[in-house]
This record gives sequence, structure tokens and C-alpha cells, in this order.
Amino acid sequence: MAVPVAQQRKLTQRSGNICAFPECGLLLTAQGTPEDPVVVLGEMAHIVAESPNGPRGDSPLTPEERNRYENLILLCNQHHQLIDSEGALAKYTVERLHAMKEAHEQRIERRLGGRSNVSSDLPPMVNDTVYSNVLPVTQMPRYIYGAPCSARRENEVRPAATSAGMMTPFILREGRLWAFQDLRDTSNPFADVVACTETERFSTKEWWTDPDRLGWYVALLNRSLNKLTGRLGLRLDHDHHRYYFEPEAAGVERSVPYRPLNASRATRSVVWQPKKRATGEARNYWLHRAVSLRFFLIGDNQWCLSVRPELRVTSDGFESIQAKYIGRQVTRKKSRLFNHDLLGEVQFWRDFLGRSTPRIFFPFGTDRQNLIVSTSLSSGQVRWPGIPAEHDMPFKNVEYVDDLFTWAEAEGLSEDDDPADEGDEDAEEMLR
Amino acid sequence: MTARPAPPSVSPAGSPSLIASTYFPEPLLQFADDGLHIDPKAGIARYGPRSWTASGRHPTRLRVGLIGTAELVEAARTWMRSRAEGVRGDVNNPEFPGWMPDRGFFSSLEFDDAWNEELGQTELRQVLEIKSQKDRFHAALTLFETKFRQLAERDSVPDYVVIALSDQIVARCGTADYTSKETGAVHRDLRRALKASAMKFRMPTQIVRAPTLDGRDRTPPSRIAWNFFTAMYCKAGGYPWSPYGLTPGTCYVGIGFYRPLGSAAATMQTSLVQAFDERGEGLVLRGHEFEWDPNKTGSRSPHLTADGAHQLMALVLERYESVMKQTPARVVVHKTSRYWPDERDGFRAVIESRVRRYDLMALEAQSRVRLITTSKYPPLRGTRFSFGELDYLYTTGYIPALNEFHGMHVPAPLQVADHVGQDSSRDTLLREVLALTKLNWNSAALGGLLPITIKFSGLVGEIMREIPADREPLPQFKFYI
Ligand SMILES: [Zn+2]
Ligand SMILES: [Zn+2]
Repeated sequence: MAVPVAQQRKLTQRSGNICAFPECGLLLTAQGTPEDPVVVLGEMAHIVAESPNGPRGDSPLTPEERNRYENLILLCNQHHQLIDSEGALAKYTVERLHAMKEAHEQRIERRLGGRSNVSSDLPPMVNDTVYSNVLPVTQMPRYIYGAPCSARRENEVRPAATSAGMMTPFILREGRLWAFQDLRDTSNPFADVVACTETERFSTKEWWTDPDRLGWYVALLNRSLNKLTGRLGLRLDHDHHRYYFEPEAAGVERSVPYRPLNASRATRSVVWQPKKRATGEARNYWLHRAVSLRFFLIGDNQWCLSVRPELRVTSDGFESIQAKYIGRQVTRKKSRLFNHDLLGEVQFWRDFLGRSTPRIFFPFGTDRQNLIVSTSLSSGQVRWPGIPAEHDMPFKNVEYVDDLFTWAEAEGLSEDDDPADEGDEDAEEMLR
Repeated sequence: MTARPAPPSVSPAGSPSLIASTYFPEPLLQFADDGLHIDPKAGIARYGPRSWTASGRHPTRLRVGLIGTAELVEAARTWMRSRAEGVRGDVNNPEFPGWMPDRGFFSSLEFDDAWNEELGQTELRQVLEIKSQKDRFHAALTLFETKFRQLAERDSVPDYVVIALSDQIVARCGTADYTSKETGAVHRDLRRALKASAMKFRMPTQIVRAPTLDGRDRTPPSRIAWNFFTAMYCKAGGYPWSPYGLTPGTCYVGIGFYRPLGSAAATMQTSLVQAFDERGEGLVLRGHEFEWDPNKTGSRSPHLTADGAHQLMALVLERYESVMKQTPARVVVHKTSRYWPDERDGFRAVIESRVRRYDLMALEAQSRVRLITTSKYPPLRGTRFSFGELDYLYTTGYIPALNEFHGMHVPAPLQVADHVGQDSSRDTLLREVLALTKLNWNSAALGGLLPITIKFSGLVGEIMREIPADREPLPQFKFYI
């Protein structure tokens, strides 16, 4: 196979027809006979040899690539022989020959008055859409209520259910009970342990700017997450502060239905005992899908919920064991969570937590006190050199559509709430 | 049934607060003859190490001393000689061009029995036979220290010492965990302790384990050679490469903390700083001891008092001036936790009195927030995005120029947890962070998760804690890696 003419021309042009060996400087054309006016003395030396057995020939380059400009260097006969000689192969490596050629071509360009263009070899930029594992909070409760409380410990408080489905997270701090329900209302869920008449009301925004109160607020949000996940049948792993699936019966694997990335419906294993691939024999541990959820403030009164998928390991479906005691098998499984798996996991969790609706809903009793998290993945545009398209994975960003039920839920549990009062805080209070 | 409009407050469509992303190209590094490349391996292979042509610091020859059993000393010498010829690569691992006068690092290795110290069978057995783990650890350390001393007292001393550890020593003396009345629970590590001990004799060292020498280590041979010889070049005093495009006259400071050895209270902390100039030259300094109680303060990460911050910054600037022979025009401080008001005031008071421009930044390695692409590969290293007021930078991830992804896990970006001063744009500061992740001369990898300013504070701290309070630790970074 010969070097294509276009490649030959590119090489001689770029090297100015001068030997590329440092300090050689031999001009590779000479005066010839009248019939053949120019004699070419230059030799197109292969950096990686044309044949795998030749000098520096051991390379993944294809035969075509070996004969391209990128793999050739223009030398005089003497220097071609030198770089190919057996004793000098360690010295004239592929990398050094590339450097030699590059330095020479730059010298030639400078001599010709050309400007060097360092950025020319950067890959072209493309626009891509990227997603994140963060869900935006679209509504936060407006108020926090606190009232003196007779209970000293949280397990002494038994909130009464005032309306179906209402969540009643609370914390005890500095002798007071703090909750999202209006404690001035004598029929509030905590009425039997708090002094309703001594209720204080704070705007939540006021709390977010005070580091101590912000900590209390996040604690209240975490209690809310406990309620939500509890209703969905997840268990809380206190040590790692994450939620996980448990088997419904001892020794029985479990899966749940959900809406995956590319199909309308599927089921996903959430508790399982891995098998050895070769023999099908069960391993001595169980894996549980788990998730770490965190509310955090990203500034300007905007909150987000991060969804971090995890795996919990147990010996029998219940008893936790540390990964280091079961060895590398599990550690490897955990660390093999690649980008696309993460996308699938996040999709599973947002679907599961939002019950395939547009939002994760925390009902605290009245419309504008409810906490609502959108299940749309946060996404954005980035301009970068991109990832080669051959690595693309199928993805369809499922947008959930409201149906009548989810609308009603988002509007608040109580059908009595009048949308006309929107924006009028005093009016809302008078309705109580 | 009447159709109701979608509630405006919960409209799922106008998804708020989304991510604005920009991309910083991979920072360039500078090699011999001012050659530029993004990759340390490619740059050295093409141009040679930075100080070969750039400063008077290139070691044209290196006197190598060896410590170990007779057998391992021989094995280490044979291994180094053969690897110095160059090591062939494969599809994923570039060839190592060698450590020879005419190629690779353009230097030569010299060996001489006068620079070796062999561990005798009897003295070794006496150590290994000791029953108590703590006593055995101390005996091993004493034995090595004797060898260091004997080497240091010779007429002719090596420039660099390779310590070859047998499987037995690693298994029996590699670590020690013990409790004592005065100190509580203590964990010791032979590697760190040997570094601290060799520092007494100003000896840069490299530890090699038997599996590396006899081939049991399955790491690709060219990668082992790259990392070994790159670190060796740095320990020999040379710059394998320099960052390119950092602001001249800038002092990059990293603040870290460690628990001192031998203090009963679990609440004691010592501050430490690492400072780097724009060439990548590093300086390590020990600060003061102070008490930090996570329960009383509500924070696990220690924070300095105004006085403590003042003292530490004054120390850095003084040493920087005396070692680097220049007053910095600009100071950039990196820390992994936020600046509490006292810390901020203490740092500011010193910096503002001497230096015109400064920025204090907190960089947190977190995994709460990640970007996800619809590819097999994660986002690109160099991707910066903001999310509301929060700012993130991917320092690990997919690298388009190499078409590879470094790291096993789905990478997570660093978060800018705090920024005080703001004399430079966030873009400039994050580009510098990215460039500073490429200054780990202990390996030939393209870049790491953390900038060099804070990357090694854990490791350096563990060596520092082995150095008694009454002994001044050496400031040169090469003694700690
Ligand atoms: Zn040839
Ligand atoms: Zn020539």
C-alpha cells in the first residue's frame, strides 16, 4: 500500500521540504537535469512502521492510518536510516518523532510568517442537554407555628388525624412544639399537648436566613420525608440517613412497578439475593434499593430535593452488614454504577416517590401550607466538546401529565379552599 | 364535570432554577523547550521534563540508595535498571520512554554499594519475632532509622533512597493500633512513620513493595514505571512539568488540619498549610495546636480563631517570601469547609496588610448533586454549572482529548461552598482549581479530584503527626510524597 498523493503533498508542504531532524536543515530538493528539473531527495519516513514487524510497528493503527500524513515525517536519507536503525529505536520513539515533526513544522510556519494556532486542535464544540439528580421544590409551606408543649419527648406526642391523608411532622425545640399546622386552631392535631393561645407564627423565609433556625427547618423537612417514605412502605436506615425497601416476607425477593425511561410500564427489583452467574447458586447477602434524600436551599428562596440512589446490604434481607465484611463483590457492584445506570435509578425514584404524577406531594392540611416537589428532572444546556455519539444511550425525558386526581391533590385536600383567595393572606386566616 | 385549569403554582412545565453550564478546556502543562500538552505522559515523552531545559534543577544523574534485605536490594536495583530503559505500553497505557541520558527523563541512574544499607537476617528476625504489635512496629521503625542514620553519616550520600519492603514486614509491621493511658486509641502506619523518620536526615524516599518488583502486582507495567519515575524526578528536585497560564506572582494556599499524635484529648487539632507558586513549587508548614470540640461547636470540621488564622497566614507569607524570594502579588486560599467570621477576619487582616489581591475559597467534595448525561459516559471534566446560587466544577469525568473516563464511580463535582474576597472572577478561580488538580507530581495521571493545595492535607497531616512538636518539619513538599 502506498502513501496517497494528497498525503504526500501535505507532508512536503508543511515541512517546507526540509529534513525535520533537529539541526539538520537539509533542503530536500536539488537542481537536476534539463529533462527532470527537480530531484526530490526527501524520504517520507513512517513514524509507526507500515508493517507491524517494522520499526515502531507494534501499534493499533490500521494500514490506512499508517500511510497518512499524521504518521509520516519528512527526513533526509541519512536521518531516515538513523531513526530506523536497531540500536536507536528506544531513543526515537513514536512520541519523540511526533514532537520532532511538530517542532519542525512550527519552525517552518514561523519562518513563513504564519501565526501559530494552538487552539486549532481542540475538538469542535457542540450543544448538549444535561440532567441532574435534583428535583425543584415548587412550593414550600409559608408558616411555621410553635407553641409551648407539655410533652418533653417526641414519642410522647401522638398527633390526631384531623383530615384524611394529612401529614403531621413536628419537632420539639426549646420547650416548644414546631409544626406546619396552625397551632392557634384548637382542633389542630397537637391540641392536647400544646398551649394553643400562646402560639407563635413565623414566616418560613425568616427562618431560612438564621443558621440555627435553618437547621430546625431542615429537621422538620426530614420528618416530612420520613412520613412520605413511610407511607410508600420504605424503611429508614438511621445510620446512613437513607430509605430502603424491605422484603414483604422473610426470604422473598420483591419488585415494584414503575415507569422506566423507554417503556410505559415495567417492574424493578427492589430487594433481591444475587446469584453466582456460573452456577446460579445464591450468594450470602441481600441487596436493597435505597435512596438518600436531602432538601437544600440553592439561594433566593429556592429549595431543591436531591435524590441519591444507593444500595443497602443485609445478610438475610433484614440484618445490615458492612460491605467490607462481604468483600469486593458488593463493593464492585456499588462502584459499577455508571452514568446511565444513575439516570435509570433517578428515574425510578422520582417515579416511585411521585407515584407517576407530576409532583411529590406533602399534604399539611391547607393549600398554601403544602410542600410540593416537581418530579421533572432539572436540566440545562451545556456547550462543550461533547461525548462521541457512539456512547449515546436511549433516553426520553418522561413528562408526567396531570389527570383529574392529581390536579385535585395539588389544589389541596380540602375542596372548601377557595382559589379566589390566592395571594390574600389575611383572607386565608379568616377562613379558619 | 367541568375541566379545571392547572394550578399555576405547581405548573410542572416551567421547571425553575436550572443549571447553567459552561466548559473549561483541559488546562495545558509546560514541558522542556516550552513544549505544551494537556497530558503529563505525552508531554514528557515528546519534550522531556520541564526542568531539563528550564531551570538549573535538572538532575543529570541520580545517586540511588537502597534499603532492604540483600535479596530485595538486588531485586530493586535490577527492576529500576530495566525499567529505566523504557517500558512498552498497550492500547490503554502509553509507553514509558525511560530514564536515560538520551531519552525519557534525560538523566541517568547511579548505583553503588556504598549507598545501600542491607537489613540482616538476624536483626530482621529479632523485630518480626516480637509479640506485641506496638513494640514490633516501634522496633521496625528504629531499625530503619538506624539504617537512615548510617547512610547519612557516610562520606558520600545518595540523592534519593528506595526502601524495599518484604511481604513479611508489611504484614507484621505495616500498621499498629494500640491504646495507651496518655494517648487513647492510636493508629500508626509504617509508610508515614518512615517518611517522618527519613526527613530527620533530609532524605527523599520511595517505598517499593515486593509484589511490584517480582511482578505479582497486576498494574500495567508502563503505568507503574510512569508513576515511579515521575515521583522520583520530583523527589530529585526537578519539575516534571509546570502549570501553564496560572497568574504569575500568585501564592496558592491550602489549609488543613490533623489530630496530633500523643495528645490524650480527642479534641486536639493542629493546623497545617501547603503553599504553591505558579510554577508548582510547594511548601509545607505546620501551624499551631488548638482544641476543637465538635459537640460544643456543632461542626465536625475544625475552624480557626481570629488569632489562629492571623498567625497561620503570617507564617505562610513569611516563609513564602524567604523560600520563593518574592512577595506574592495575589493570594488564593483553599479550604474544604466554610470560612467562619473569625477565620475570615484573621486571614484578611494579614493578607490585606501585605498583598493587594486575595480570594478565600471553600471547595467541598460532595455527591449530593450531580449532572447526568444521556450517554454511557458521565459529564466532561472541566464542566462548570451553577444551580441557583450554588456553583459546581467537575474535576473528574470524561476527557474528550483522551476519549477516556478516569475513575470508576459516577463522578461528582466539587462544590464552591464559600468565597470571600472576590478579587478575581469565579471563572478565573475555577480554571485555576482545574489547573491545580494537575500538579500531583506523585503520579503521571492527567488530573485528580482536588487541587494540589488541599489534595494531600490528609496524607501530609499523617506524616506531620509523626514529627514531634519540638522538631521543625522540613518545608519541601518532596519529603511528604
Ligand atoms: Zn522508515
Ligand atoms: Zn536530515
